[in-house]
Amino acid sequence: MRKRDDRLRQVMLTYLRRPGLRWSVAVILVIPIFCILSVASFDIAKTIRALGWEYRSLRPFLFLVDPLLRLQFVWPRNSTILFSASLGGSVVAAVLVVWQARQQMFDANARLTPQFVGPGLLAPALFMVFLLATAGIWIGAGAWMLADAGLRPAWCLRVPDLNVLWYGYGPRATTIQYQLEAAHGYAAQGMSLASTSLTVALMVGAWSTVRRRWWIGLILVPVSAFICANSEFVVGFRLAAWIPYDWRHWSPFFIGFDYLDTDQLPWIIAIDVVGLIGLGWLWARMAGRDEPLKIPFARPAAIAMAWIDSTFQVRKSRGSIMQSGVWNRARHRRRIGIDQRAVWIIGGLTTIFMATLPFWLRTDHNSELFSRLSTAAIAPALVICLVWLGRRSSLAYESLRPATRVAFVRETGLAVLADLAELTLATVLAVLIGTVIWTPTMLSRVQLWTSLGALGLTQVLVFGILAEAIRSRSTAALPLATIFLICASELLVVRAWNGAPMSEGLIAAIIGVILAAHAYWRWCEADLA
Amino acid sequence: MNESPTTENSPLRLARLDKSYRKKKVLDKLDLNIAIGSVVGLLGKNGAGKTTLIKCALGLMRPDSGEATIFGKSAWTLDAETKARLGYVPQSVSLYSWMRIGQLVDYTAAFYPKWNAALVGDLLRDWELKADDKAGNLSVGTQQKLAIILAMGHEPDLLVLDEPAASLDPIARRQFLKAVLAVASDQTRTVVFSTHITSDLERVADRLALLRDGRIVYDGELDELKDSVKRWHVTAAGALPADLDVPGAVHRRIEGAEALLTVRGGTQESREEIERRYSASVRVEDLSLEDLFLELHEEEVQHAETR
Amino acid sequence: MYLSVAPTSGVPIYRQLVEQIRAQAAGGRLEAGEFLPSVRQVAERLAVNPMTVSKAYSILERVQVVELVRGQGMRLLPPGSAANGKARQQAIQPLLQEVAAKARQLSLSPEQVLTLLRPMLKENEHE
Repeated sequence: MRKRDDRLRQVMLTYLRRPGLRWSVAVILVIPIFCILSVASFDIAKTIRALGWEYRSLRPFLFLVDPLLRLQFVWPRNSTILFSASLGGSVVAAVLVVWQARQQMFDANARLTPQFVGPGLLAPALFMVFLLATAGIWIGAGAWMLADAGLRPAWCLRVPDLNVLWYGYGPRATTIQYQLEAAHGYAAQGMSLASTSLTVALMVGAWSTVRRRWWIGLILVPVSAFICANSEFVVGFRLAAWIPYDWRHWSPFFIGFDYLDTDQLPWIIAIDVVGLIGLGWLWARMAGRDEPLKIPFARPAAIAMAWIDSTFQVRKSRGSIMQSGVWNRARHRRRIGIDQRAVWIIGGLTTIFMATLPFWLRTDHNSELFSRLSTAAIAPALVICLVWLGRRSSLAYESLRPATRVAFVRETGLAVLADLAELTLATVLAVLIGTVIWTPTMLSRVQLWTSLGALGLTQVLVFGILAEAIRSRSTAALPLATIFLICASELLVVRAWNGAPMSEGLIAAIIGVILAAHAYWRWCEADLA
Repeated sequence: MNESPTTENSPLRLARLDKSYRKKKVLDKLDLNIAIGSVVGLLGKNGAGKTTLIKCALGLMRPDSGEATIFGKSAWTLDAETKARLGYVPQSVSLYSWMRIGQLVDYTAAFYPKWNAALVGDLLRDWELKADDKAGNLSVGTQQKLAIILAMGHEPDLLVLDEPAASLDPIARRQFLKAVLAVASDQTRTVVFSTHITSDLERVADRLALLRDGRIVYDGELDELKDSVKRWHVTAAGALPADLDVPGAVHRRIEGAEALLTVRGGTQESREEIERRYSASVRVEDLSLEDLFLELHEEEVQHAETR
Repeated sequence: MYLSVAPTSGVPIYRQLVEQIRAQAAGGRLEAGEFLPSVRQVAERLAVNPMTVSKAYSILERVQVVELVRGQGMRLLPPGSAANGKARQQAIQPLLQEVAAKARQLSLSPEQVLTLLRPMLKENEHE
């Protein structure tokens, strides 16, 4: 018994010591606390302002908080930064946990260690369930309760009128029930983080087992981005309300689609069955037996996969590019990445997925379009991130091809930009085609076009972040870059949807250009090895 | 046989190179001059800085001070024409695992103005690499072979290899050496490779650069090193003194009436003197490169008893 | 012509080649007027640097074991010339030095060594 505990502890430590994981968990935990505390302060600030300037002693506090209030980046009880950061952090953390779990389980050394399966599976499960899902709930709820139960009464003691203003509907504020209800709201948010993490975990797990067909992973990115974007706390609220009553919603394969209504029973069953088969196959693979998938239509599926595989082949280049122009050379450097055809295939499959969405959803078309836009915001950035950050280790080798350092940096940068631009274009087309099919009236809405404009400008910022991440040689660059990318994309598109001015998008684009220029300058001077 | 290299025609030249890495000085005022047409072996302990030296020489890393030039041009700002005359095989090859070998060859070929497709085809066939295989499915040794082929396809004038044979089995290693010799037979092409495998160097290299403590402690012909450093086995009639010394002794080990001396540049006269003075017999042993390497790295041991 | 090299022995490869070729020429295995294989052929067969082989050949040319015939390669010079005789004597010297050293180690007198050696040399004459 004792040895197993030790082994579990050792396995947990391998996760905890991973710097990427530590950074992601820090983001998940720290930013929500900060946001919730500032949200509480903003509430107080607004109230004080409403009461007038008689309370001079409180003026320094207002002075601090005022500029932030004007920026309106943090909305009471509806914080987009909170959501985006937690989303980004949990996605990255989930990816890292699953990836490490897979590495450990498939490692030959681990297999020869006695009793490796138990701790090897238990540790990532603990991480996923307790640390990622539950931590979000408890920290969020706890922070809110601290703000509510701690700060507010303190202010009320100093400013007696506040009590009347806030708690005008009775002395409810000071009762436990109110605290619990507020905490409940944040528990719901935590649940949405849980669903996000678990979805990502399932997708990454699926990808890692079909590594030979790497493009499956790239296609899964828009799908999982879509699901994560829709795990809003508003919807999660609904889920949380159902917890004591409806066991069906605890099926792990359902959690990803947490807003499916109860009359979607056939869908639930289908997803569960597919999931169970998949898990069975995964288990067989881990146990060392290479079993072919025993599903109906296995042969046509195999042929289709082989065809898609062949279309992802790198095309043959014609002749030497030494004398070609910059654009040709950049295109040549793209060949090793996902290449042009692959971009459009990913875009095409995303279109099909988005075009068939209404079969899956029963929500109103407004939020459906919004969720499609969110996907288009997150997915290209993630795909490009995954493909290009994987090429970092071979940059030194590539830099010795005939080209000056400056030319090499320029061409590689152009290649990243071209990949990003094409993939964004492909996903935007997917959104538009989906809209044209199902809700053509939305095309005339300004909201759609301003959001698309913001999306385009956001991609400039994304490019800047990518350029810096590719240049940097630290291992934390990948997780941090991914978190930033998700936050930035999601945040700006959401705000544009809700009517923020285009100037925000322009500021983001300018920041992106500055980052790209800085990365370019540093890249030309950096040690590449 | 090799003209003395001037700055303009020297394929690789390092002058007073300094490089520190995380507060540790890896290269310390290092000087190295490679002659055209030679096959130079770079030998050094693990962690001696061979990879750092190569990377600074090729312009991948920037030295703290000093200069590195390739074909007379500064390594940091190499232009495309010079890079087209350069071939590099890194120590850890990170090939793109989803690409097929044929595609990798195509991709690499397009970068260079002249590419010998026939040579590459021959090498792929001789080394048993199929164009349809995915690079990610290959074993480490096969990946290394592929990296070597990719570096030789454009017939570079300077071929730099960082531990190229580390993962190769003996057959593959022999094939690799033959390929290097084919390059070496052309007097205008230079090969520099760093390795631990001294037997490969003995076969193929004509010059040796020994890297120790951040400096090149020997830069010259391999044969000359072998000719000049020998091990003397001294057997005397009576006990030998602890301070037994010979001009040029690198390493001494004295145990009673027997002594082992590693002597550099030892002459017949000094040998006869020892024989006379201590009424001993001296047997001269030739040292292989591996032994030489070990000898040049061991610290002096004064006396067996003091250990 | 049979040649073999041991790259890891302490003796440089060029010197091994020189000694082997001289021994074969002196022992009659190679006939006068015969051409040695080209540098490239030898280098390829033995998997050594061609420069090593050409160094060996130029040394052999210097001590007049072979001569360079333009366009055809290295031709063996007839044995028995004074240089050759001297070369043969020089070839056996290292072995004799080892014998002498071993004799000193074992504290054998020169007469004892010669007593042992003479019958062996007489065997040679009978061949």
